[in-house]
Amino acid sequence: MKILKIFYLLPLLLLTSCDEDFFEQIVEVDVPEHTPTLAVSCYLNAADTVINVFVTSTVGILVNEDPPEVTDAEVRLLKDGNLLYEIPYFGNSVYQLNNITPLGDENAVYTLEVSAPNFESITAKQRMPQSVPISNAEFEAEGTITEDGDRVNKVTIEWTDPGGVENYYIFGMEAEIQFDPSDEPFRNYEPLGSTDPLAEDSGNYIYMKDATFDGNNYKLIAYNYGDYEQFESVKFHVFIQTITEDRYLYEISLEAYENSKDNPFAEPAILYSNIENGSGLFSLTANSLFTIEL
Amino acid sequence: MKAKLILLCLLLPLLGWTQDKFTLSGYIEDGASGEKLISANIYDYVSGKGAVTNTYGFYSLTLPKDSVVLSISYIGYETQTFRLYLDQDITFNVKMNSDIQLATVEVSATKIDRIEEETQMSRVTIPVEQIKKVPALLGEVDILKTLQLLPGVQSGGEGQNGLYVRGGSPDQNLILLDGVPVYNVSHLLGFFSVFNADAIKNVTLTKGGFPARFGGRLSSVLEINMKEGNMQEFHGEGSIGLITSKLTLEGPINKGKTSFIISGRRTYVDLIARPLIKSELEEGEELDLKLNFYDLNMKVNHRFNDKHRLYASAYLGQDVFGIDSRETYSDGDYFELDNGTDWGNITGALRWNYMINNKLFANTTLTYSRYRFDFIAGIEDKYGENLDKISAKYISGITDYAAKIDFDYIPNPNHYVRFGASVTHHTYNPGAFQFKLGSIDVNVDTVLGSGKARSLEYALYLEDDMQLGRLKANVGVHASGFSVLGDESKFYYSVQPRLGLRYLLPNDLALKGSFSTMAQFINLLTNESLSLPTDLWVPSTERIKPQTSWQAAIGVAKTLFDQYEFSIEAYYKEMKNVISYREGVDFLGVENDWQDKVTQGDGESYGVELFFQKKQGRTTGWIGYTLAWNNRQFDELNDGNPFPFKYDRRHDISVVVSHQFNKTISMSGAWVYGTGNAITLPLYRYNSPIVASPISGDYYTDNIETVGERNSFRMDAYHRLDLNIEFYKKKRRYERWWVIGAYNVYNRKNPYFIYSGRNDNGDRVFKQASLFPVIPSVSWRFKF
Repeated sequence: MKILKIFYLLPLLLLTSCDEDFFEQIVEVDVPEHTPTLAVSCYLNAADTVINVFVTSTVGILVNEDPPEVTDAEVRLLKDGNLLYEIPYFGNSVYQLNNITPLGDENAVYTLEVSAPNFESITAKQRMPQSVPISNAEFEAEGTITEDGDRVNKVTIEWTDPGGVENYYIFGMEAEIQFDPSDEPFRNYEPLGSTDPLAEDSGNYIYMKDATFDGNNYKLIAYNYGDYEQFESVKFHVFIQTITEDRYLYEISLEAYENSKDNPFAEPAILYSNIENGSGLFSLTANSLFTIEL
Repeated sequence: MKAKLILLCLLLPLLGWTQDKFTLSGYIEDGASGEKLISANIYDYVSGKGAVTNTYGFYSLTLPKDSVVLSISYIGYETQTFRLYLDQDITFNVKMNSDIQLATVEVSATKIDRIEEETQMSRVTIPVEQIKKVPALLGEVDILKTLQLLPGVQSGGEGQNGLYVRGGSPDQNLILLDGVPVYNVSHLLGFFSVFNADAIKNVTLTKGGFPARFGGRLSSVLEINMKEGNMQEFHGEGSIGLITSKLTLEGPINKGKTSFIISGRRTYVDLIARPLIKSELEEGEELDLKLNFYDLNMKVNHRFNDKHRLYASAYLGQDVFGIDSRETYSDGDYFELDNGTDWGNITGALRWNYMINNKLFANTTLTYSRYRFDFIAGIEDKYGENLDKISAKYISGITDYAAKIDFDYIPNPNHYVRFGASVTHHTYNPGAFQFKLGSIDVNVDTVLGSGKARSLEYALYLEDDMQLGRLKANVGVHASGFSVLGDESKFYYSVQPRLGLRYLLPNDLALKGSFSTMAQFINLLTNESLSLPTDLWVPSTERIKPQTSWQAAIGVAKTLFDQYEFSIEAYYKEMKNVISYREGVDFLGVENDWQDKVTQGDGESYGVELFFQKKQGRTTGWIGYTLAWNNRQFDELNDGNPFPFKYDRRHDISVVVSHQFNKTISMSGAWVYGTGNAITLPLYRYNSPIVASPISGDYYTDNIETVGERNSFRMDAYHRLDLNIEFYKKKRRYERWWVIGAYNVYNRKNPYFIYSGRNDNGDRVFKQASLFPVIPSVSWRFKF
C-alpha cells in the first residue's frame, strides 16, 4: 500500500516544496537541558560463547556530535545475584568477552550492571527463557500468498507451547546453500513474514506471544520470498527463539518507532527500554532449531 | 381515582384542552420563491405569546378567543402585521417579502431574532449570505471554515476543514445534510468541504445543551439544509473561480406546487494541466492526469396540499486522483500503468411532511448515506509474446439506511413537544483488498476478519420546550441502542437526560444553563492532522466501547440596541472511551486489525466563550473569543499521565467584519489568532544496535530519538488575516459580482509541523514547516 501513501502525501509535498524559504524555517524551541545517561544494549542467547555489550551515552537532541563512546565503564553480568563475568572494553562502543561457557537455558535471573564515571549506574534484570522444541517444520516452494497477493514460499513451523506461563517467541530461518557440489556450503539469513493474525512481522523475522494458544500445539504459517531452484542443494535451518516479555515489548515499540520516524503526521513512539536509570535493552533468548532438507 | 385526577391536571396543559382557545397554524414562506422559512417568528401583541416555525416552516399558536395582532418577522424580510379575530381554528399561511433594498446593501435584516428569547444555548445560526461574504482560501466559499471562526469551534491544521468543538474531535460532530449524516465532509485532503454554499439554505451549529432529538455524537450537531427550489420563477446563480466553477439552477416544475433545484461544482486543475503535460511527453509516451473533485446537489419538492408535502433530495460528490500512463516501444511492446483513487459520498433523503392537525406535525424520513473510498492500480506489461496483467483494488467505506419519524406537538404557546424514533442500519466496509495477477484471484480482507460489519442503531426521544413565566425549560430524554450484528454480536444502550434552562432577568438579560449526556456508537479512525479519504468509520465492538460524554454549561445572553447580540458561556465537558491511535501507529497502513491500532481513554475540556455579533446594518460581523483547556488521559499513552490534546488552544480569537461601502462595493475581513498546537518533540538521542538476524546476532546501528512528555511543547501562535473586496453590478438580465481576495494577507509563516534536522552548517536544529503563504484569489459570481 505504499503507493497509496505517495498519492496522499504528493499534494502536500508539492506545496511544501514550492519555495523552501517560506515553507521551511529554523525555529527556536526551548528544550530542557538533557543530562546524559548510559545507553546500554545487550542481546544474549543461551548458546552464545561471546558476550557483547554496547555502551554509549545519550546526548541532547540539539547536540551536534554523535553520542560519545563510553570506554571506561565497568560492565558486569551477575547470575542470581552473584558476579558471573566482568566484561572488558573491546572497541567501537562494544564491551566483549569471548570463549565463555554458554549460559544455557537454566531458569536463572541475570543482572547486567554498568557503571561509568560521570554517569548514573544502570541495571537491568532478565530471567532466562526456556527453549521450546520445534515438533515439525516444512517448506513448500510458492505454497502461499502474501497480503499483497505475491505468490511466495510457504514455511510451516509447529511446536507445543508450554502451558501456565506467558511465552514470547521470535521465528527466523537460515538457508544453507551450495551452488555446486564442489563448493563449500554457506549460510544466509532468509527473512520471514506471516499473514497469521497473531504474528507480528519485523520485516526480517516474526514475533508473537502465546496469549491465545497457551499450552497448546500451534502451527505458524510463514512465508519467504527466496528463489532456491538455481542452487545445487539447500537446507533450511528454522528456529524458534524464546524471548522475554521485555524483548517482545521492545520489538512492538521498535515497529511503532520505525513507522513514526520521519513521519510528521504519526504520533511519535518511544523505543521500549528495560534499563533502569538509562536507555537500551537487555535481552535473553534461547533457541531451538529444526533443519529442513529439500 | 385521586391519582387519575392529578394525572389529568398535569396533562391538561399539554393537551391544550380549554373551551375558549383556538389555534392558528400554517407555513411561513418566501413570497417570491415559495421557500419555507426556518425559525421565522410569529408574535401576538395582544396576548404577548409567540411561536417559531420549525425546519419545514410550520408553526402553531394556540390563543384565547379574542382579537389578535400578529407580527411575522424573519431575517432579511419585511416584518408583516395582521389583525385577526380568532373564534375558530385557522390555517394561516404567510408569504414574506424580501427586503430588496436591504438585501442588496446589507447582509441582514430587520427582524430581531432575540437570543434571550430562546431556551437553547450554545447554538449559532449563520445566514448563508453572511458565509458567502467571509474571505476564503482560493476564493472557495467554505461553510465549515466559516464555522471555525465561531467561539468554541477550532480549526485543526492549516487550511483544514475539521471542526474541533469544545474539546471534541471531528468524528464527534453529527453533520446532517437535509437530515442525512455525511460521513466524509472533505475534498482534497480536507482543504475544502463538500458543501456547496450556493445550494445551502441554512446552517445551524449546536455545541452543547443538546435537545433530546439529537444523538449519536459527543460534541456537536451541524444541521445543513439545502434550498428547496423556487416555486414561482426560474432562477440561477453560479461562479467561476481559480479552482472551481459552480452553477445552480432552480425553478418550478408545476408552478406553486412542485419545484426543483440542482447545483453542481467542479474543479478543473486537471483540465488546465493536461495540455501542459502532453506538451512535455516524448514519442510513444502517453500520460493522463486525473485530479479533480465535483459535487452535485439536487432537490425536488412537491406540495400536495396544505397538509402534505414531499421532498426528495440527493447529494453526490467525488474526489478523483490518478495517473494513467503508457509507454509504447518501437517493436510494439508496451508498459501501461493505471493508478487512481476516488472517494466520495452519496446521500439521499425522502421526506414526507404531514400536518396531522393544527397542533400536530409529522415528518417521516427515509435516508441513504454512503461513503466509499476506492484505490485501483493496474499494470499491463507486454514484452514479446508475454502479457502480464496485475491489478489491485482496495475498497472501504460505510453505508447507512435509516428511517425516522419526528412529531412536533404544540398544544399551547407554553409547550412545544417533540418526540420521535429512528432506526439506522450501518454497513461498514473497513477495507477489502482485492488483488489479481494473471489467473490468480485473491480477496483478502485486511481489517476486519469477517469482511463487512453491520449494526443497527435505534433512538427514541421526547422533549418539551416549556415556558413557565420568566423561566423557559427544555426537558427531554434521548434513549439509544446499538446492536452489533453478526458472529460477534453485542448490544449497547444508553439513556441520556437533557435539560436546558433560561431565566429572564431584569433588563432582558437571559441567564441560561444546560446539561446533556451523549453517547456515540460509531468511531472514525482518523489522523489528528489530516483528513484522509482512508479515514475509516468503524462500529463499537466487544473490545471498543461506545464513547460517552456529559456537558454542563451556564451563560448569559442579551440583545443590545436591536442590532448587537452578546453572549458569554462557560462549559465543562467530560468524555469517556474516546479513541486515539496507539503510539507510532502508521495511520495509512491497512495491514492489521483496526482494533489493534487504537486505544481508548478519557477526555476533559472546559472553558469560557464570548461572542459579540452585529447582525444588521452596513457593517456586520462578530468577535469571538475562547479561553479553553482540553486534556486527554489514556492508560496506554504517555505512561498513563494526562496530557494536553493536540488542539488544546488556550486562546482563540476571531474577528469577522463585512462592510458595505455603497450599493456596488463591499469589503470583508477575517482575522484569527490561536495559541500554537501542542506537539511532542524529541529531547535526546543515542545509538543503539538493531538486530538484523536473530540467529547470527548481526545488527546495524541506528540513532534513536526519544521524545518527552506527550504534547508538552507548543508551536508558535497561529494568526492570519484574510481579505475580500466585492464589486457588484446589476445588469439588465442578471447581477454579477467580482470578488478579489487574499488569504494570509501579511504572509504569516504559520507552523504546520516541527521536526529536528540540520541547518546549512550541519548544526542540529528544529525546523518548522509552513503551508500557505499569501494566496490571492479572484472569482466572478452571477445570479439571474
